[in-house]
Amino acid sequence: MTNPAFRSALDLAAAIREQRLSAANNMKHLLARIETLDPTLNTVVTLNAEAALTEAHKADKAVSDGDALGPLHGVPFGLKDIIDAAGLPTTAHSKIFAGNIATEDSTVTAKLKQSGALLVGKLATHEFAFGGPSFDLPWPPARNPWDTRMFTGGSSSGSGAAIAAGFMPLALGTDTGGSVRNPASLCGIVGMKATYGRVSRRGVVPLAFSLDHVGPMTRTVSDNAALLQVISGYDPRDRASAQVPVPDYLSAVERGRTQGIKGMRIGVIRHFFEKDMVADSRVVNAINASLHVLADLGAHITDVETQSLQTFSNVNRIILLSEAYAVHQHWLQSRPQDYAAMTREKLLPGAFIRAVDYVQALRNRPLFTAEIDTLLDDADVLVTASSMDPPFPIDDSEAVARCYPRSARPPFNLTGHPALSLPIGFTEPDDDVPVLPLGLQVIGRHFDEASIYRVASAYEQATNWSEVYPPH
Amino acid sequence: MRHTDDARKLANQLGLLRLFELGPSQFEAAIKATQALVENQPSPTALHQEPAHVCDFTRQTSNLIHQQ
Repeated sequence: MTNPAFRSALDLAAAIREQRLSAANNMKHLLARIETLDPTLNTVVTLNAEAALTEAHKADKAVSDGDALGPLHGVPFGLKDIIDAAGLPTTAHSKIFAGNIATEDSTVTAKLKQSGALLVGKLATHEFAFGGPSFDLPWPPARNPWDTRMFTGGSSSGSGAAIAAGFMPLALGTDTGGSVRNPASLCGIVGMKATYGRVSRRGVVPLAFSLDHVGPMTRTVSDNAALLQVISGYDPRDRASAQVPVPDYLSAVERGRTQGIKGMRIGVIRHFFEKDMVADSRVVNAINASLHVLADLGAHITDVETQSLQTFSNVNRIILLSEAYAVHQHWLQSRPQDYAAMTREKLLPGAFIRAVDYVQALRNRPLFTAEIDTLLDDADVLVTASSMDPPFPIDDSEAVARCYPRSARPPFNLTGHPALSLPIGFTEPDDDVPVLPLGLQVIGRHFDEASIYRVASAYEQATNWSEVYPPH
Repeated sequence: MRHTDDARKLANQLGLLRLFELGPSQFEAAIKATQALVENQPSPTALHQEPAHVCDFTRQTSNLIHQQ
């Protein structure tokens, strides 16, 4: 019997719709769980308990009244605290935003509410989605539910940890250089950075305009597909929003489960994690084991090659730092003491990038995008590492500094391709360190998140890693 | 000392003197990190190699396997 805290969003939605479960009772259970466990996990910055419970009662009444119900009716969700929800603070985990109350829902928040989902709270992030984990801010950094001594990854740290801990089945994060996929990998959940332009960023605090994405974070692939379905679509109020039809993602998940992936072509960007950067052997072994599973399911696996990971990451970094500095220059000049030391350190290089270097990076970008497109001419999806290392202690500052460069996520912010982090198992327990999660990255063609979900759901069904939960 | 003086001067020009004073060594490290970053970027050589908005995708998606 699954712990009720770990029921999937789709399961909850069905049970509430069919009156087998009260949305209010479920909400009470989750709020009590948060109250008990969050003092050690620090995932929640603003708990929306009273309003969430009121809305849950209304959700139950709507069911009994026979009202039209949205696809996520009565299902709890959380928001990374750089995403606006009307009437609640958006802190960006920073003193700079003290007293900042959102006057309007962001587009994604509005879409989630329209689907019937219930906002539980605003979740911890690294300061402005860039610094961190920092210990010199008004809120402590989130901790990893698999071992609270460990780093969650970031910057969507609270979203990753809250989902893994069973505080809610759905959360949104944001991803500019990997900030959905990093905590997804280190917390053992599913995190999707969809195609650039697929999900509106209106009402979300920017980090780097041309690299920012909002993405769903969940425990299962099908929940992830359901959440992306709700938040996707053209938004005329987001300048980068793409006017492209949104396919039925749950059908793609179902195809993965029922028809499998026989004949699908999977390209492995192996040099990213075996040559350009040498990943921890536990990560490499888990990736190789996952490739065996995919091959056993009938996929054709081939190694493919592109530019070095460092070349992609350098270009991504020049753009990210330039755009982030443009956002933060005013506050760095006027209120530098209000940033965490680590955030200042990470933002500052943007002050020294010349215009010509930024423009050269922008000129490089379409070439690199075309390179990934070319790989996807001969493959339905690509796979590579997400994080190069398993979770490590949150207070190990050297390991924290290493972890951001040691990932294969930034290339796909640069190129805009959709990329998902998928749980692929765990480390072996070692002395007093319990099992820790490991992840794989699956990349698709522009606007083809569906093929990623198909592969991910077939793999998930064959392995069931999503049914292993942290202690508590 | 000379380096720190130069960095202070640059910080002043950039309006970042208060930030500089919070950590002079951090300031110098950031300058070096940026140099390394831009030196390792490929230099585009083709005259007409333009930046493109990442959303201007030209590839067709009609051959997606899930649509077959």
